[in-house]
Amino acid sequence: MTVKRMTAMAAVAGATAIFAIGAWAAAEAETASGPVELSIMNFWEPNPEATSEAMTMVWWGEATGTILHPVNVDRTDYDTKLSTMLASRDMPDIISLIFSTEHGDIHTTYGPSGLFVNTTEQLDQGNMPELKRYVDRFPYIMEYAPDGNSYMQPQLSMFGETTMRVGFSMRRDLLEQAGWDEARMDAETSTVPGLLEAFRTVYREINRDRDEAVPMIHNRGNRGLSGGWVLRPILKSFGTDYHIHFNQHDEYVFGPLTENFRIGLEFINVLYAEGIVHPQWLTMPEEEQGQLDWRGHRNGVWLPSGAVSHYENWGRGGKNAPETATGYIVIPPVINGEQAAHRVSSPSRGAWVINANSENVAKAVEVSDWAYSDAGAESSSWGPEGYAWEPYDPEKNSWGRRWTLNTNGYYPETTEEEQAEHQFKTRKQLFAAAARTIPQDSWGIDVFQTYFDPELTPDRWATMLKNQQVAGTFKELGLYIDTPQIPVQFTQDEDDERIQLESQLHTYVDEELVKFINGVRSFDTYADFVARVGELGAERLQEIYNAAFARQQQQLGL
Amino acid sequence: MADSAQVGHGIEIEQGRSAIRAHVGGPVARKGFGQSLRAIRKHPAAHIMMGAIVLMALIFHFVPIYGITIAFKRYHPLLGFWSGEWVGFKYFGQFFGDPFLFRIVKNTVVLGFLTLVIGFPGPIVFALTLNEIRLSSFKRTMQTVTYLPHFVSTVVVVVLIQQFFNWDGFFTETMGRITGVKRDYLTDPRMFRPLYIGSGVWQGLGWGTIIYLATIAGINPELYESAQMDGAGRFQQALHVTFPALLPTVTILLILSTSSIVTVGFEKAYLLQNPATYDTSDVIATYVFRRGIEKAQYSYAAAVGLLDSAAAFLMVFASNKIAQKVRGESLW
Repeated sequence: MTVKRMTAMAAVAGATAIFAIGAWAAAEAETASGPVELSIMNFWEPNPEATSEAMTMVWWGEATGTILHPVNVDRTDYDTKLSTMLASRDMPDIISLIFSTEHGDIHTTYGPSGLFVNTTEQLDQGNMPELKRYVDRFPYIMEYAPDGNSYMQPQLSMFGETTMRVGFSMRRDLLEQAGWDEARMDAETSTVPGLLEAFRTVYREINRDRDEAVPMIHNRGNRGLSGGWVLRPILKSFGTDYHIHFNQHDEYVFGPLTENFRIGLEFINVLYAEGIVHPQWLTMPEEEQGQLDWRGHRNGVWLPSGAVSHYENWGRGGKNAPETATGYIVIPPVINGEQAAHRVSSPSRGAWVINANSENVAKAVEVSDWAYSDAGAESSSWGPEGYAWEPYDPEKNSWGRRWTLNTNGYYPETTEEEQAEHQFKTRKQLFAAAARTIPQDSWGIDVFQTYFDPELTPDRWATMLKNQQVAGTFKELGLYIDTPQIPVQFTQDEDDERIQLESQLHTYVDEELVKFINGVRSFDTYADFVARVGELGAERLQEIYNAAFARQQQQLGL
Repeated sequence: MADSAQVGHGIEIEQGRSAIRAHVGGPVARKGFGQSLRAIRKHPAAHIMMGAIVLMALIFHFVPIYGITIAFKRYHPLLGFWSGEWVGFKYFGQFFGDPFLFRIVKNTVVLGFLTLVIGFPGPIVFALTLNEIRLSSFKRTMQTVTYLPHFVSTVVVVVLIQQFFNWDGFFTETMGRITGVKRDYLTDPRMFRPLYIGSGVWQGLGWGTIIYLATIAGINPELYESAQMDGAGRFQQALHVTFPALLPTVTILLILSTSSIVTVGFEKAYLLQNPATYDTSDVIATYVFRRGIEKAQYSYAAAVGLLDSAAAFLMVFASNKIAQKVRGESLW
């Protein structure tokens, strides 16, 4: 190649670069004059196709003069994603934090360092009037970092004021067909043997006319074992957990050290041995479950933490299995005379945080605050399924669909009548200004900022939300919460040791659980398992948690 | 016959080295900066191309090295690399004190070793075999078909494995019908290594032959003619001409591959494993991922990563020395 030719190439490259920079600058200038663009990281059950055109995003965007770009993160990838974002400090403008993960409390850890916007300051400066309405009325919804400031905006949840149950969800119609009347269900399903018999009944019924045996499947995928979504709901039903948890005696305990843990495992082992759970139950990819679900083969599920829409959605097996669209009965077993499966939901521990390094902090604050307005609360109650839920009778855990956005029976299936009843109301509400067509794959994004009923009395909220007192109230009723309302804070050394112990314990317990359930390991060696758990530092882990909890209680004067 | 082939091959290598020296100026580096500049002026295109590579190596491989300091610090994402309290070898100590250390190191080494032992010779044998195919259309088809899996992403490979070996998968169904007993292969720790290595061989066999086929194409035809005149058949030609000509390339690639013994690929192990198979599938990378990344223990992850890299470097260094002693050929 000659020098001349290279010079010419360099000139072309330079011209291209100048043109590109010019185009970029022009685009920037155009953007600067239009609505502010913000990114918002979401999770839970995100619609992976959701864009800034998604229904909720459009709604929020129009109300706040922004264009919101959702960053959808699958629930199972959430920890990894957030961890890498933190490490790189390349974060969206607004982030939704999951309360049940490793990073649910990072606002208290990193907030004081300046990573997140100081909500206390924003409230004091009058920048968040809508949120302030709630904070003034229900101060317990805020969580505070050790420096006394709050760096989060709470995700208000309807679940925060109702009692929820973790238990087994069974097809009521199948039990009835097999002669299980209401009285028998109440009397027998609360014992472990009775519960097993109910499982067998439902299983036999659902497969009566099928060529192939279709075992019961669970509701989460294979990554859930470490994420806690496969076994935890079941073990919680037995009043335990597969790792550290807060028990009814206000202590942190490591689940495998408890007797209920063994009972739970033996129960699951029976399900496995009898073919009630799928042979690859513990490793089945989520997509595969989806296929089974689509074929209408799902005949029962375990509930994780009581998202009530699951009751019906999971029961609907698709167009090919209309018979599955029936009611469910939630069955919490009684272990050693205690119905430990009841669980009281906390005020939602989910939170929004605002990236303090955002280029548009003020606008992000405005958007976040809008979510606490009446319209904001209303809009954010829409999930990807197009429904919002309201309790008909919270005492009985009875819920009903509020409105539906679905106009063509997309998912989940609805009857014509249901659509006709709700269609006009919904569309008018949503598209009052101008009718428009939103592609069905971008209807919604699950913004977990659930509908907040302004009709609820302050007294009721105060009772329900009052952190530690909630536990006392419900303990009197024989119920307990499975996490303390205020997350414990560890010292750096405690945290290092805690994570080391948890890593090794989870590795061992995860592995051995599968062996017990699959029958590869005999329950005769269970004592050895518990001993090994002890060697790996389970007691020390409990000590760390309980010491941190006691210290915090003392600091809070509780 | 063997001697003539080796001698002939030796001449070829020497000619090649001379040509390279002549092209880049060989001893130029020893003759000073002025001559280097003259060499750059003489071959600007070659130096520009090389410069881009050097720049890339500097930016992506050398500059980030300063980040390893977090292995010795309590890293805080907000404070960055330069702040944070020095903790010395604390995180290294945690790694060496881990009760699963022996298992994850053993799994890593065994998996890496088996991958090397089983996966490395495959392309060599396949290249020699392809070289013997005379029907060019068939040869090209074979090459194309075997190259294709290389372009399949790891995620897709794992999905394929899962589809074949899950409860309703083709392999599981077939074996179930043959033996009368269905087995759950994906939760069997004994199946992890065969699946991991087998899929690796399938994916890399064709692609791995490219460099060998290129080497074979460069062999002087006169060597084959000479061997034929000496009465060598096809097999003897392959054994005494082709294979010796491949050996220098094989040596270099083997040296480079030794580092993989301690740096087993993370993606496939992570995607293919489940808790039921930890006994054989939990390697250093997956274990550290669960702790270092999922639990945001960046310093710990950096410490183990540093150890891993150091071990890989030692492996390459040792194998280079061994190759130098045994064959007189080495990377440096």
